[in-house]
Amino acid sequence: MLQTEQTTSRSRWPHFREDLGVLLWASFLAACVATLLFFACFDPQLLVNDVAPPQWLADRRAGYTVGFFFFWMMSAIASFLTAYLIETRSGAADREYR
Amino acid sequence: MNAARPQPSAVNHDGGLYIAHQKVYPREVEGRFNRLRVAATIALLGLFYAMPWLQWEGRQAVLFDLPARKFYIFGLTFFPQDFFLLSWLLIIAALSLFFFTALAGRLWCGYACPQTVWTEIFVWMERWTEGKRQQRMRLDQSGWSLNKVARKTAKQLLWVSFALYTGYTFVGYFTPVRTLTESAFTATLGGWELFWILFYGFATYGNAGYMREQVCKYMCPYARFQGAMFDRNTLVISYDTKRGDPRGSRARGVDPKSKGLGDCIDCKLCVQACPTGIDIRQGLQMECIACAACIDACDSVMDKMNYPRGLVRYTTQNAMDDKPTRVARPRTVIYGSVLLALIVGFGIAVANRHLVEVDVLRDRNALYRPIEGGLIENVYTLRFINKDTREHELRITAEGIDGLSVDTDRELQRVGAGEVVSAAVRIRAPGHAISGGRDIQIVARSDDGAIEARSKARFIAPAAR
Repeated sequence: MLQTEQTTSRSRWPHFREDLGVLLWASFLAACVATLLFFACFDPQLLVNDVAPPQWLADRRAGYTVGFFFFWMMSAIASFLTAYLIETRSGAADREYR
Repeated sequence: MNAARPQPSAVNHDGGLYIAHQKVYPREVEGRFNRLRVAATIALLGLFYAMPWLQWEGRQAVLFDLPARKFYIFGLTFFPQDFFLLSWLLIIAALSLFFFTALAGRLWCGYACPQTVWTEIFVWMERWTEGKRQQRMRLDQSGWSLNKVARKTAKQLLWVSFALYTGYTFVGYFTPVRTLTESAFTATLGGWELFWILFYGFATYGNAGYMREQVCKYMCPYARFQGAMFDRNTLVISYDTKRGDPRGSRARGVDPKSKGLGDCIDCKLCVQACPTGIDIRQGLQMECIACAACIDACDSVMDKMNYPRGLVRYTTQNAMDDKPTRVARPRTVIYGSVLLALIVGFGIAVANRHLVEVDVLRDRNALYRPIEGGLIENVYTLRFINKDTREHELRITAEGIDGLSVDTDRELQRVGAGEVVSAAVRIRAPGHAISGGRDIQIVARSDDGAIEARSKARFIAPAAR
């Protein structure tokens, strides 16, 4: 038990850096699929058709790229929250193998 | 599938159970599986690097023209509307992976995965510049000398230029590679092109140069779930414990039985050859990518000892237990037949694809307009998508309400090969024939009857009082 308390008090999220790598990677994969599905259905130029698109969005490639990073950011936020809530719930650090 | 438990000595001293990462120096091996892997590497990467340069009917044979939203694959042109074909293709790919995993284990990991294939090339370059396994280990341990700087610089130079060329080829699938080359030589590369060349190049450099087996161990979802497709008849790489144990060194020519030993001389070459740094003799492990480098390493030793080959070999759990191995079993038969059905269906779907499609957009400004002669007019924008390799001239008609007439700017709408063309069309119905909304069919036909494309549209008229 002593060991457990030490572990808990030292760090709320013991393997943060390793987990960060995993969650960025998992969200990258999800973002790839989301980008593929989304832009197969919607043309980035039509999305901004009515609201006077900024000049740089006139190139569809810009739309795709921005879309991809937007999806990556969103799925990374979801991944991060999931990992954060699981890692920091009470007793999480007590488990030997995660 | 028992995962290797961390060895006590390798446990971090901070009390965590993560093993500190140790760099793997895979030993070079010779042998038939190595030759097979080299052949696979050359064939797959050769395909990747050569494909963008292939021409077909005056344009790049395989080109994913994202800015124009058109995908060219040899004689076929695909549009986003064909997306379901792509999904279908992905399902086929996934199911093939299941099928071949059930049949022959991790063939994909060992011979075809881009991670394996690019790592292979990067390891070659490491060997050319830093030498063999022992030399590489010594070089890393030694202090910085002129020799070390020269070798490390040479390696980085090779790695970086190869990675950049890889990124360049990747972008060449999306921007015509010949145009790309022109702009590269005249230093007029676009910002997005440059960005993706660097992004993909950096990913290649990092994954193949540094991450290597860690990608398989920590990042790859397939490595985690492939065990679910395994059964006792799946081809795996395995050490023959019954034959090999007890392990121990002995002089050449000494009968192992007289010393109470098995065939394994405990030379550890199989461990040194392993690109993921595991010991195959501990049994099937999640980290094993089935590259068969340990088989080659062990066979070479068995040859030297004049023992029969195959102490480490491709085998199945059943064969190891002296039971018959069955290739045809419910799992493979089901995977195989579903796969076959999907492939046939895909072929039929591609062959019977509508060559011309019509999309209908309603005019957003007015629902309807009463015009002279008691007619009600609805305005639509039609978008014609011609996926064919030749031009078509289309005549527009409408069906669904008695007395419908169509007014277009041109009698025949011309749509060039691979083009998307929009045109306004005014459709009129007699006011007495309709009240409220009704679905109609807008039909585009070529006069020779070769093409007929239909699309549903909503015709709106004032409600009856």
